[in-house]
Amino acid sequence: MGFVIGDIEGVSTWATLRRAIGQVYDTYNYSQPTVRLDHNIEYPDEGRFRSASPGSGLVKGAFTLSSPSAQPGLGNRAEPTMLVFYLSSPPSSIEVGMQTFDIITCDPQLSGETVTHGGGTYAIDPPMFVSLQVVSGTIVTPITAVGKLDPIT
Amino acid sequence: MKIQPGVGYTFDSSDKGFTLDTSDPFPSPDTRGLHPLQIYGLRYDTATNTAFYKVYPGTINNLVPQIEEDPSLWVKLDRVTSGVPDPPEGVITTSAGLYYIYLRTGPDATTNDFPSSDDTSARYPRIISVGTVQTDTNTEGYILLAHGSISGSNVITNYQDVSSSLWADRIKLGTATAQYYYARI
Repeated sequence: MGFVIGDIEGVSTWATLRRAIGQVYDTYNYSQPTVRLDHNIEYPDEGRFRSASPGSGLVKGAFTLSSPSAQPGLGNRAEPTMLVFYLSSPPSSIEVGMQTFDIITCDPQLSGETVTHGGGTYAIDPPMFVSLQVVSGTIVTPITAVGKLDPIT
Repeated sequence: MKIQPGVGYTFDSSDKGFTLDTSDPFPSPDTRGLHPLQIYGLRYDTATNTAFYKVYPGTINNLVPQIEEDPSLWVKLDRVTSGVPDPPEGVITTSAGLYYIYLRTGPDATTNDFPSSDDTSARYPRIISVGTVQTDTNTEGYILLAHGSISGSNVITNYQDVSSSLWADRIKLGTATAQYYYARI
């Protein structure tokens, strides 16, 4: 489904379709911008990532529309977030996912890239864009590095 | 012989004939055909060595910008006086004969709304004329509406860069300077 760029609120400029990347792990939540208004978005310099490619540093995001006639807007704007959850069983396993990314553009770009966290590393895999996946390792700190991405400083 | 309407006079017709109508002897400059945020009314006053400009009303995020009519007196482009459009006029500032006319907007200092809708604030959309290229900051985003030059013989050459009203978004990543994005409407 297409959106009209230049619409009154939802997709006012093409930048409205773009996002930084957040992360959620255990009790920490870096998924949302700290300023989140119709025409003003601010991501703090903690726990977030930006594209390392030249350009805006933003990646394509999505809207979680409830029906084909629903209009995009702040209320259904989805923030792409890397999820990491510690699993007590089996031991030395974690659950990871790539939530509300724009799969069409982000899956080909990020699949295969290495994610580094305090308990080791794992590689981004296409199924992670659909649901949580179990990988080996333990996690004691947030994600600190991702291939093709730079931490927002 | 044919008589046709002209500047300052026209004709009214009725079943009793035609009447010469001179009720508007000094009509305002014709603004037909202008687009939103178009620079017009450029003139050079040799008495004060000052160049002036007007901007046809348009919007950015549904706000009508202001222009500095007198020092520190900011007036919206669509001002109406006594029921009649009364477009304000700004002064062109040059450096080495060059000028840049920008639309400047900023986030509200209290609510973070972008642009600020507080028309008493410098962060409200305002059109400025400067002699140098401007750079975005966290509190001021600039889009070039027009640029040009004034020659030594006071001829003003203007180039229009924006041809419509605008939508604008502001995105800030960490400590990097905020980025501003625009779309025509």
